[in-house]
Parts: sequence; structure tokens; C-alpha cells
Amino acid sequence: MPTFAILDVFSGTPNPAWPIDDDLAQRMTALGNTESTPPALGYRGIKIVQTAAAAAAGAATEDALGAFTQSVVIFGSADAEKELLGVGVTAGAVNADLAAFVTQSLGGPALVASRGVSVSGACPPCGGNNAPAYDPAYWNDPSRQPVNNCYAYANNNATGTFPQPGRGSGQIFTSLDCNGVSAASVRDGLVTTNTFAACRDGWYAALVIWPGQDYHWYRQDTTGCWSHKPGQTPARNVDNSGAAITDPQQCDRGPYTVFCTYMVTNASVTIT
Amino acid sequence: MGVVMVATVLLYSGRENPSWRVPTTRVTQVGRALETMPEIICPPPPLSGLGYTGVQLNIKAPLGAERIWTFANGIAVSDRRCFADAGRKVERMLLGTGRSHIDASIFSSIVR
Repeated sequence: MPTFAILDVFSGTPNPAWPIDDDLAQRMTALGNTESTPPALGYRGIKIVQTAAAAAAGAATEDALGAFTQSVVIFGSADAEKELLGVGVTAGAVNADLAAFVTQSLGGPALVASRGVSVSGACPPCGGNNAPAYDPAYWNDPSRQPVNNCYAYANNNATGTFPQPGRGSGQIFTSLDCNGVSAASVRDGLVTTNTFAACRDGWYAALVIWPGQDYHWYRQDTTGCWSHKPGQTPARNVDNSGAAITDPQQCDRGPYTVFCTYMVTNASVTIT
Repeated sequence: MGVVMVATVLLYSGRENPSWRVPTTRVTQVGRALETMPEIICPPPPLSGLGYTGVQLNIKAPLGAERIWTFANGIAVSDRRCFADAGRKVERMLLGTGRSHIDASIFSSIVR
């Protein structure tokens, strides 16, 4: 029987609902309370429910689930609530503004940006004299989005080749770790740095690693906040939790758990 | 030459994603599964992030235009139409055809 999460937050309109997998459902069931939270306006927790498959398939709201049986309510467990919320955002059931509201209710960071919406003045000062503007419309055009990756985006160069560190200078990285990928990007013309505080020509980028699997890059935009483009997916200025990125070393990076270094890049860097 | 299906795991940011041709012995099974999915109202586009975000299927039929499907979180999308992939059946079916192309630890985490 499929399990869904329901974000108990609205008063008049139907609450968002999204499917969760068996593993997550079991962990949440073990964690949650069996009693409902006290009535209140605003966020009241995330309900875990079981429902009939035929009626619920693809449902994005509580009303569309049909009949369901509630097992537990997750409330007061911020990490668990954030994990569920992240699944809801990914599933498209919870938009970034609502995720921001709930995150703040959990005591999380207040600065949360919606896709395509300029982030607020809480961004750090932009130290790159030539930093690119955040322009998702350009990068997410169907002609560019699937053929440009994080490295193209960080260097603000839509090569259309899914460029790889080192390939532009003749030798792609030979080890999928911080040393290997950063050395390859240095050969392409990037420069390592310990901080993004100093004002300098070019703009700042940051390298992170999914151990043994992949690398990923962020870049600092003119706003001072950071943005990125995960592989062939759309460019965005929020992290895996839907929060604006004030420092890629501190943001939610999903499986890219190793922060390597900040770097400086510029329009003369060669990537292919 | 019959229908050609190519599956791609949407997984990596920097590296190319694992991709493989669906074995001809499974093409008919996948095709039937696609035909039986009920159409649903599309939810808002997901804010896909870092890590596994689903499976893409490119289908090229003789003399026909290429059709692209994506599967994630129990929802299949093609040509801006959405279908219910109940229990992630088709998504898991496609992943199963490419087991040798995916790191074992990642495979086990994304098919569960």
C-alpha cells in the first residue's frame, strides 16, 4: 500500500502531498508521534499516511489521495522534517516559497530563495570584478540545458560539450578526488584560493566531490550569492534544501559531501 | 531495425551519466508498461537537485521522431504530459536493464 507524506500547513486550500519510498516511510513511522499536533494556524507537522494505489498515484494534494489511514505525525524533529520536505520539493508538491516558510518554522535559516527569484541582500559581498549575473533563462534553454554541466556553468561558458576539467588543456583529470579535479582545472586556467572574501578580477567558483563518484561546481554571481547547474538539469540558485547559497562550503550539497576549495576563474579559461 | 530505447540515469553533475541501450528482449515489455500508465494532471515541476533525480528514456522508432520520457518519484513525463508510474514500476524496470552500468552501491540505493 503506497505511503504518502502530507504537509499539514494550510487552512483553506488542500495540503500538499507526495509519495515517499518504503525505507523513508519506515524510518519516519518509527520516529513519529501517533497523536495529532495541537490545532494552530501555519505549520503543524508532516503526516505519514497509507492510501490505495489506484486513487493516489501521482497525487500532489491531500484531497487527491482519496481515503487514507494516518500512521504518525512528524513534528519537532527538524532533521526528519527537513528530509521529508526535501522529498516534497523534489516531487514538485512543495514549492520553494512554502519550503522556505516551513524551514523557518523549524528554526532553519531564514534566507530562502525561489527559483528564478532574486535573492535578498543577505548575500555576502561579491568579490569577483567580472562575476556573471544569475541568468537561468539563458542556461535552461532547451538548446543549452542538456549539453552543459556544472563546469560549463561555473566558468560561464556554454560550450555545449559537457566540458570536463583538464580536457581543454589536453589532459582530463585522472583521479576523481579533490587533488585530481582541482589540478586539472588549474591546468585549464583556474586558480585555487582559500577564501572568496578578497576583491579580484574574474569570479569565484567552488569545487566539491561526491566521493568516488563525481565532482560538482558552484559559482558566485553578481548578487554575492552562489548558483549552480547540476549536470543536465536546470541552473538554480538554491541548494538541495531549497535555501539560497551564501557559502557553498556550508550549504546542503546532497551526496557531494567533500568540500575541496574555492577557485577563481575568468573568461580566458579554456574548457572543452 | 526496430524500436531503439536508450536509458540514462540522471545522477551526476560533472561526469556523463550512465547510459545504455535497453536490450531488445525488454523493449516490448517496457513499451507495454508505458501504454498502461494512466495519465494524470502534472504536478509543479520538481526542483531536481544533486544526486539521483530519475531515469530518462529516449525512444526512436523507425521513420518516427524521437520521444523522450523521464521517470521520477512515481511520475512519468513525456511531451509535457504526465502519467502515474505506480510503485515506480517502469523506473525500476529500466534501472534493472542497466544494472551493470551503475555502481553497485548506488544501484541498490536508487532502486529500493
